[in-house]
Amino acid sequence: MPWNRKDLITIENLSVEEIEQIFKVTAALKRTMGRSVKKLPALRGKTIVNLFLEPSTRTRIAFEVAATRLSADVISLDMAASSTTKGETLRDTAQNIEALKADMIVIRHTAPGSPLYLSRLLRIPVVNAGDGSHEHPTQALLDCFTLVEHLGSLKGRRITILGDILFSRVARSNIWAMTKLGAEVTVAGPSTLVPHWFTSMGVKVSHNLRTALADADAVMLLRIQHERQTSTHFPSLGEYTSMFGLNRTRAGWLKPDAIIMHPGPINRGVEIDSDLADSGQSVILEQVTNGIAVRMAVLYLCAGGSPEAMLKSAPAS
Amino acid sequence: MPVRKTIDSPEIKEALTTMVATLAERHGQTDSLIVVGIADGGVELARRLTKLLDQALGRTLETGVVNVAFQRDDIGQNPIPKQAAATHLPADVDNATVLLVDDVLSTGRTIRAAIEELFSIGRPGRVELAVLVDRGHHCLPFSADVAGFVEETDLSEDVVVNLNQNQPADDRITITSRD
Repeated sequence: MPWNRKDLITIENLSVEEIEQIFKVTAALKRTMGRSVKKLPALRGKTIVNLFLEPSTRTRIAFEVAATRLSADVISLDMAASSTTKGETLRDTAQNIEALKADMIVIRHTAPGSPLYLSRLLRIPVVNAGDGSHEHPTQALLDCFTLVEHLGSLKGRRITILGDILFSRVARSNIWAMTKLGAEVTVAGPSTLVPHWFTSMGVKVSHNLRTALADADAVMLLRIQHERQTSTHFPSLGEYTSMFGLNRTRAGWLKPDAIIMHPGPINRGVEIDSDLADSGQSVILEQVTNGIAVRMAVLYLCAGGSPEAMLKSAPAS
Repeated sequence: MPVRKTIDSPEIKEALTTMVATLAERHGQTDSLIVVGIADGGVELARRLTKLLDQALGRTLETGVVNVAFQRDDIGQNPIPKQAAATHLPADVDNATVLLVDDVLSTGRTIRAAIEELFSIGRPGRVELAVLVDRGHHCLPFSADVAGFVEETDLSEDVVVNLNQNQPADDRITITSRD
């Protein structure tokens, strides 16, 4: 099956075959990152607008690097520079960008569903770089790509996600991706941030940190999302750290070959001890490198998934 | 789809022998020769040519693969096909003689992309092209240095090469009409 999507909005509606196709392209692109000439001509002449209406450094830079490596021209708009501060609606901003003949929009927005809304409104491809606490599909893809690199197939593998699950789009996208790929996912953390109803997403909910860690082939730590919490879910960060932070003792419960992941930004000394973040079990920086390759793959595939391209049955030889 | 012509295993084997004889004559003295298949169609042909060339030249040649996906010039105009084998070159291509191998030569657009991919990795001293079938309709200034078959085809026809690694007796080239 050729790729036939112009947008990447959610992991929820991707098929396993599509995820595997993204991983194949990612692996091929990752290999090009070792070349002395890292730039590929695939998106030469295309303009990509990064519309980041919520603060982000890492994801925005990763998308900028990915687009640049594919030879696209990139314009990044952040909240302060955008006319939304002058009262312009998202719809108008996006339609203006399309009228400027941009070829693709990468959007981060505080409102869940805004990328989907734009993808239906616009003819050009839209890539979700995080929408509120809904989804962050490229983060889940890079996390799962990193897991597959370390563990091989995820079928039957046990992965524990520890931390603020309730407010985390990274957790939601990862739960979709990991369970689609056959992994057994456990979510763990304080019960106020890991409510029982997550079982409806096909994962185990655990408040027993010891077993949640001891069974895991990989543990993913999530930051406490202060900015999205509207009420107090635990007494203090210090208490969170003492109850759920990953320290030497708790890391000792892990299997010796289990890997430690974190989507960043890490809060050293809060959800993870500083020396563990830098230990041999940590793959946090590999995740960053893979983040470039995954985003290159997503931009490449979505750029090629235009309706015009889909009308033709076979590629030119 | 009506089949206009098939070429079967014995004829293909004979063509490969002739191709290798020509290549061996050209490259008897070439010290840095790398045989590179264009993914996926050229990979098995490159493997066969390398094996036969190794015997003819009495040495072991380096082989590699180039994937042209990221060098295409039609992204957004044509669908993105399934991802083929990734680019992998075994030896330093700088100043080497690279023999690019593909199953079918037609417009030459794939060859253009393969050369770009090669040059994004290094600077070969010389690049040559070997194909099993040259079906005509060239749109770019490329021609094969060595071709197994030169077939006159109509644009409405498809040329499909099946080289089976495990069952060479099943090798077949089929020319079918899309009408």
